[in-house]
Amino acid sequence: MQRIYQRECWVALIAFAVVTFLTHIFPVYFLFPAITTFTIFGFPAHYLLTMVVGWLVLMPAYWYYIKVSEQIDQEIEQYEAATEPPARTATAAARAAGGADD
Amino acid sequence: MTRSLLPALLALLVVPVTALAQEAAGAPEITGTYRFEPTSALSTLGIVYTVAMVVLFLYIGWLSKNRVATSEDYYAAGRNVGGLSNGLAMTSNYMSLATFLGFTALLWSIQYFLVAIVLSFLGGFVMISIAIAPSLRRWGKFTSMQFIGDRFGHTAKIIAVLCMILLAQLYLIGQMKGVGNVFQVMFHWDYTTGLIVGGLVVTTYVTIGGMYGLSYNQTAQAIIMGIALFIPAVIILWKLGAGWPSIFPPFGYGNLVPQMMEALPSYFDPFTTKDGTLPLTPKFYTAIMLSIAFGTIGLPHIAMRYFTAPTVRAAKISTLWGILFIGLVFFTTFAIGFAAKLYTVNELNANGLAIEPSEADLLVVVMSQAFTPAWIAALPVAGALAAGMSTIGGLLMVIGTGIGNDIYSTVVPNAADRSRVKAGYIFTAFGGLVTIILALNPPDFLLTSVIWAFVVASSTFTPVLILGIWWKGANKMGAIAGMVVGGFLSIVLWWTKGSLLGVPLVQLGPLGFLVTAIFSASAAWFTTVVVSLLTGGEKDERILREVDRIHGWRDYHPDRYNGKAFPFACAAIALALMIWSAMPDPAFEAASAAKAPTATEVASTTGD
Repeated sequence: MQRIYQRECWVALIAFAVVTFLTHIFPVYFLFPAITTFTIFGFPAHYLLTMVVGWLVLMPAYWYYIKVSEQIDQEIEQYEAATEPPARTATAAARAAGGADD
Repeated sequence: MTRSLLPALLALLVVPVTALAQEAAGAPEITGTYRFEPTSALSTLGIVYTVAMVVLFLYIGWLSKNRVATSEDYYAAGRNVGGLSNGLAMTSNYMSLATFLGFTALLWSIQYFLVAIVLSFLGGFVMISIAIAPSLRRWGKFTSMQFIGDRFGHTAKIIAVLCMILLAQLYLIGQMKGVGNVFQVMFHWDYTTGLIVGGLVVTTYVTIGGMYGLSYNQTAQAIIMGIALFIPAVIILWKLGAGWPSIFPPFGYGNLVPQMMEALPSYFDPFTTKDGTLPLTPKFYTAIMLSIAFGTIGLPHIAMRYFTAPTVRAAKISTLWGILFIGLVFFTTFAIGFAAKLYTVNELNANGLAIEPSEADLLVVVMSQAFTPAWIAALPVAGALAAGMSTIGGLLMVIGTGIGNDIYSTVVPNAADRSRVKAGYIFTAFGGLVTIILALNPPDFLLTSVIWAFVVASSTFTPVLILGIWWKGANKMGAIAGMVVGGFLSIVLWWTKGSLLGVPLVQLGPLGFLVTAIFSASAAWFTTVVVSLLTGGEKDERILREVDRIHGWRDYHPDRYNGKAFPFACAAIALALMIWSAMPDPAFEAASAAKAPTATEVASTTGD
């Protein structure tokens, strides 16, 4: 139980931090101002990178988060099904088979 | 009365257009102002599109009425809205009139800085689905205020509802006024007539259709908004010489960048804004994140969409669709804004004409009329109205639910389900009518509203929601103290432009009061944690069990979500941010001393 719980917290924390970084990369340009001198596909690199990272990279990153968080939800369901009293186990198993997340 | 759709924000940020002309090398002297006048074909087709759209919205609302049998149907669309549809509805719910027309105007005024603001919006939208939405969805109620009530008690719920009404009105008045303005400018209607017609339409379809009607209408509105932006953007970029990349406007104007660099070198500068006249610093970007992204997490009308999903997984899939569509709309407005800025500098300024700030709100339509045939140029008119109505609808629904369900169920705890549905009808309609009346002659402070609403949300709802979900120790006293302190500071620091009793707490220069959440939200986080710890944390086992349940656990374990590291880290970071906020920033001090006008001074130039 403890391992699943800690994983849930860490996944949420890391996902939150990653989303924050991807959509707020502006301070990076203060650390590496040389980025602002390049161009990519005709755009200043920092302008295009900000939009690409904050949007197009965000989508697969969030998709990956969905997969991982789903897996954790299923692990919680399985844990609950394994530890519940016998009378309720059938219901829990049916729930787990039908849709683990709600 | 001006025709500004985002008067407050523009008032704070707008740059005298003559400065643009001076920056454009060799630009001739400005001798006049450009006044937008829609052609008769544009007005006629705009009316046709608008009437067709309004009929569609009312029809959808009427059809949806038949699906409303229970309070769950009325307030949460039976928790039956699928992933794609909900993603589209989230998009139009989040994309307001300010986004559709105002972003182009803001890009014209503040350039790269808008990218920072916009991506913070998108970040906040995703953070909701990570930090609070899954748990709120498992909680199984209709609003985040209701969660606050169940988790922290009735007093906290009433404070939350009051905060919701304040920020909903901050949002709504500007939107209603914008809808009235679109009718006024495009169709030469009297402002009051346009406001009443537009306001009544949206109030009617939301009231009769409830969340079902709102959801399906918002889905349709997202599609209308997308078409209304995308097609004109392709044509405008193509005609400006962007070439084949213009078929995908969000990234379709790379070929035009050299022209912009020549006309306005500061356009892409991430270290300054307002045509290179104001510095941007890492602290300012941090403050943006706390105001915009964390504000989005707390916006109740955004969170409400997650309650309509059938499962937690479906809610997350909706978010994924939402990221796609929101990004498309955001970055297409950037493309049009870029084109508008280039057109302003190279064509209008070159011919001695300047654009008045109030006209900048109409740049999407100005550009469409200049570059596309009337039947396409009229699309953004419909798109703008759809954008305004979708957001108004979402906010009216949250008002209706907040009063009709959350407050009503507190006052009448044993009310029958049918009574709650009736209360929803009454208070949704009531909210709409009150907003129309307020928008007839809106108080000035409500016009400086959209970003302020984010600051209020960030300083009241967000800390309480996140701590309430992820830390069992958060208790009633902490939540109440946090919301009161955050709400108070978010109002006071806005009025005083960052000072409390003469002590400057937000040292962010002339634009600082846009982002006062760096102090007010941090104070709310700090207060919630410290007061909760000082008052012994949450003791009620029923509530502690519920915290486990909303994370998916059916058993109870007292140690889960009850560590000390998370609240201590939150309090420490919040304290550090408050101190950092109050520390003088030399870059802004220099800029402020040099030239920065006050918000009031600039606002007075717009006539609002």
